[in-house]
Amino acid sequence: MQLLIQQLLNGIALGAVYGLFAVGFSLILAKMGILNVAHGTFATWGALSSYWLVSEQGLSFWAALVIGVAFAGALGVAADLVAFEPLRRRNAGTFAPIIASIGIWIVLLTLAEAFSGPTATSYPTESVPTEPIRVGGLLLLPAQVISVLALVATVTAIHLLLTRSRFGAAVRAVSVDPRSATIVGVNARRVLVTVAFLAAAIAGLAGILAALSDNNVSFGIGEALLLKGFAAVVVGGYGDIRGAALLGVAIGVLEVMSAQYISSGFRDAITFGVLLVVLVFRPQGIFGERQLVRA
Amino acid sequence: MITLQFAGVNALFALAVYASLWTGVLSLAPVFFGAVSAFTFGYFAGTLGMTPLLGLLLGAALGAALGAVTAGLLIRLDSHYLAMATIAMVLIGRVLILNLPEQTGGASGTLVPGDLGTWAWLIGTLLVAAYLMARLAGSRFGLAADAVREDPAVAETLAISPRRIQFVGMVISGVLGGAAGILQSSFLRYIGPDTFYTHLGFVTLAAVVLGGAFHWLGPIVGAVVFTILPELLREPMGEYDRVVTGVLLVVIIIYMPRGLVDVRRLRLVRSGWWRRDGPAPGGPDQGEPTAARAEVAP
Amino acid sequence: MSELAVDIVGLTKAFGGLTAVDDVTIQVPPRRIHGILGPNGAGKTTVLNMVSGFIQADSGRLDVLGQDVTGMRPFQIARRGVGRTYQNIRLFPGMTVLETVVAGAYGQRRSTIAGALLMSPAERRERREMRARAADLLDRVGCRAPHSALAETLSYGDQRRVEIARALATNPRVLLLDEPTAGMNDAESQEVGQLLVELRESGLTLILIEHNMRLVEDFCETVSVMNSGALLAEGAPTWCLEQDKVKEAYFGKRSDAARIATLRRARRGPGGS
Repeated sequence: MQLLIQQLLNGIALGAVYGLFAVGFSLILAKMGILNVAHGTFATWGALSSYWLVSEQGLSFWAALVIGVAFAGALGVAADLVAFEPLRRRNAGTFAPIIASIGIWIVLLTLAEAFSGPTATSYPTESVPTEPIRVGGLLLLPAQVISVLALVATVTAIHLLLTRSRFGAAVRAVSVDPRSATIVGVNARRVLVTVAFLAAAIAGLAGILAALSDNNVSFGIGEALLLKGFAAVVVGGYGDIRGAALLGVAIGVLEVMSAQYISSGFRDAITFGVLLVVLVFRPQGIFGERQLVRA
Repeated sequence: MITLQFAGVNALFALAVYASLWTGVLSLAPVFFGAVSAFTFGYFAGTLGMTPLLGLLLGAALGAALGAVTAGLLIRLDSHYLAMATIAMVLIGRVLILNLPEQTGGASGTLVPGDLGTWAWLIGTLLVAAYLMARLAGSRFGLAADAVREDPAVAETLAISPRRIQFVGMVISGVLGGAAGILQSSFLRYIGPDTFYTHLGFVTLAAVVLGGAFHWLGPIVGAVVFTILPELLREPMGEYDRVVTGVLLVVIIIYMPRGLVDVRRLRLVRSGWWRRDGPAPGGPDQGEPTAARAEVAP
Repeated sequence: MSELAVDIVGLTKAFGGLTAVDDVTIQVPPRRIHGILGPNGAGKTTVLNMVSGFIQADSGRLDVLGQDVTGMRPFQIARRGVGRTYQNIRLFPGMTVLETVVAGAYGQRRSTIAGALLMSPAERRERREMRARAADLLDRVGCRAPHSALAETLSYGDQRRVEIARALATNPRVLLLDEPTAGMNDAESQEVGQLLVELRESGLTLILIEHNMRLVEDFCETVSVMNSGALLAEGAPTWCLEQDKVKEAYFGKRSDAARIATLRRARRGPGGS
């Protein structure tokens, strides 16, 4: 029983990182209509930049986290300005943005590989909180607590922002039709850039927390998250970030449980199995609306 | 010389991507098809001893079967999800290889006989593939594929079932991807979890986008450019050579969305249309033909 | 018993809160030229879109040539003999005039992938026949543009003709035309009218949305008039246009004969519905 609860907690903590990543991925897909496969590299760069700040520049972990998140967000804005905005202006259809995002993926991945080198490292132990927290017989690592808190805070903030604020109304208007939104006085450019920043910044945060939890900083962080994030968005359903977050957590729990009780080799296979089953039998996701592409 | 051989293999992969893009499906699945056929080939060639031709046919058949299964399961997805699902296939392929060490050698990979790694086999296969694509271009399937890519809703009112066309496209994509996987492994003689991974997918897609997804010649031209270009850049750019691939991909898709081999532009030039000032005769506010609908693909 | 070519019963479609088509019944016997009239936004194109399967009706029943096609996919309806054109011309970018029409013949062809790959004699023969047939159809609709030109570069009128030829290539028994003369001059419109009569003589049933009242009165045997999604009147075109509620729909309350005359003179109708 103790083990079960411990593993459940481990799963939730792992899944919190997936959920976090999925929230950003879903945000850009639902609100901007862009399947951004470069999203994983934003996470990678969030982790790499914060690592560099901590280990090379001697910043505190928390300062590095804030700057790393902002840096990832800035990359998202840059990607939007350089690639997606010209395509949007030309009304370029479905595939062009996906292909452009693959181009960005290649660039950021190659630079990440060159920057980090082939070997994985980790944050210097003395700079990050490592002292485990004991509750009853259970063991919680600081990274796990931070991940869960980060997910809860982010989902709450983004959800309130989208549903309760003037900005949220503007986002909805722009995601339905940027041109009409502009006519009624919404600054569509500013809305799109803000969404791009938020989505990428959340990816950066997920990357940093993944690196912290795994005790492993490498250029491959993004690819793993991309797959899990995609699975969470597909299974959770498009359109509501809460669904993506919840399914991210569920995938984390599923992974930890199947590694514990079935076999560690099956860990990924089960996630992909679930992904495939949902894609085939319920492509709109568990909580999803039917339609994906905005009119 | 070795570079040119890889250009040839990449051209085959690019033709495989083109085969489904032709029907309006953006798919990186050929990389996965190639991986499966190559590792299957490696496994059986080691134990059974296979003639080269048999190996190649086996790869193509396996690819076709995988293409059919993939299409059967995924073709009804929205195009965003379908594209992402095929990218997921490539990512999952690596996980499978790592987790099946008995069959694939796991992280250390496996050795493959190099019988097929010759110019003759490469050129032969490429010629056959190009010939088949050229034959299909003006056929009943070819015109239907063009129609589905340009405007699936209108194609449907011409009694064309888009899903059926896309299914066929995916099977052809499987045949070419499977064969390409066999050739790739024969040239390398060693295959591992990273052989058929994102990098191959990137190069392949970049080739199709640069060359153009509207004529079978496009992917071949694009593959040659994108295989040789990094080699030329290796000297000045070092490990950053791939950055150029990525930047080019973005630049092309923004400024040259129909690629180098652009049949439509050739036809416009030939009919002298682009020379005319203003709208076509009698046509009220037609605008430039490149304006709206023309650029829905790739 | 005379079977209806198109039997629309109680068709209803709402987009969000807006009922675009409200309980519309239109019945067209074979070999008839039937017009659908109404001001912009009346739901005419939505009706056509439902008949061709482009969009699914919320409720109602749709029979074509004696077969229930309610809820079928567009390609299935097309296979049962329904062809159509579009109000905002939708030709395939990059295709030549001849290719466009040959593409329309997809359902008429028997060639297989294997045949195409081997370039079998049957394949060669079929390709030759299809090109000849497409050329015939282009002649028939009066398209005089070079067959190797890109379809999208033709004049407005010729683009509409190519669309009709593409629809005819599917060998339809019911042809739906959405504003076939929009953007054409008088002489061209009359040519289209003649074409309609010829097609009817060859056994087709034609349903067209048209704003050119002279064309409607000259060539349509019956019309249905729609307004705000509902059917307003049906019958002979002259009779329908005399009805007060029809006049009201077009001009508001102040109806007078002079306005009808204006309407009849209004031949160019590039606007949408």
